[in-house]
Amino acid sequence: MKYCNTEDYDIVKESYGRLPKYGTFSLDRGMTRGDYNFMPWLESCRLQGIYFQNAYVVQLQNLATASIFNELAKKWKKETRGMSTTIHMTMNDNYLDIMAMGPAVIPFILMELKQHPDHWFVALRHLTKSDPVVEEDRGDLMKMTKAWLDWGHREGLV
Amino acid sequence: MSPECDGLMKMSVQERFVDWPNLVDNSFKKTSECEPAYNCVAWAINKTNRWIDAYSRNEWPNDLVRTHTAENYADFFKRHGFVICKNKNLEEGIEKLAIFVDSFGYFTHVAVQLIDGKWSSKLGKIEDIKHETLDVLTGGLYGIVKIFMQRPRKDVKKIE
Repeated sequence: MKYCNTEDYDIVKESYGRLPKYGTFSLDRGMTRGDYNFMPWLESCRLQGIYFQNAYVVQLQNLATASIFNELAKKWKKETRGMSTTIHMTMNDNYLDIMAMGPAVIPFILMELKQHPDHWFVALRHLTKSDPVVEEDRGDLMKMTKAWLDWGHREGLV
Repeated sequence: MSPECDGLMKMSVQERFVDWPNLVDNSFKKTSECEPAYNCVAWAINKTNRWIDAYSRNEWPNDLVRTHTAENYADFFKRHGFVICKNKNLEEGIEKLAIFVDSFGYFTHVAVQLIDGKWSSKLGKIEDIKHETLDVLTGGLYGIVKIFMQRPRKDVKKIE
């Protein structure tokens, strides 16, 4: 088990400038110091409720959330593209893992929804405890997407 | 259509085998581009702008329970003029559906019979295909066919 200790903190701080940029990061290599692959560790710190004060590391934590979300979202899309029902899509491990990331992932879901409308509504409803979709728009992907993006604007998340 | 569709035509043989182990190259023909806005249930009742399923907050009749069994989906199709029938045999003037279920008995897919006896399926969030038999979609994601339904044929799908 990894702990968010001072030694790791120093390594993250030192490595910040050499970390890959958003969207290009791969989790496949695992967490090794040689690769400066600290994203899972940073995310695990966030999930443990440990937040850093250092602005760089705070940015890194956000980057970690984005990277992990992107990886899970990519796998979810691939594994569920042929599924015909929401229940099967949302029972997929990757989708459940995204929901388990908690409210920090909401802006990234909204960003993904804006770029590629898809069935993120169950996760959004679960994470936000809101449902901006009016009854007559249920099942209409574009209208549901718009309702959630409008909600995101109102909440300052998009 | 999704411009960055990662659909059937981009799947590797291995990926396709995992989802539909019997869907080999010469067993189907693609009949649409990817489209996440509608699913097979909508396609079966000639809608292409809705995702219809029993999960909460999706389009579903208010007076129909939101359970995921094949029987509940059959009740949905009964509201569109279908009745349960015994087989998939082609009959003149009759439109048939085949409802697929997974190992839990949950609805997974519905395929529509075309006038030539072949079948049309909207595959999840990706393409529509025309396929020779129902067997090509069994196994993997869709499981087995549990229920056949029929109604007098009213419309001829555009792909025909």
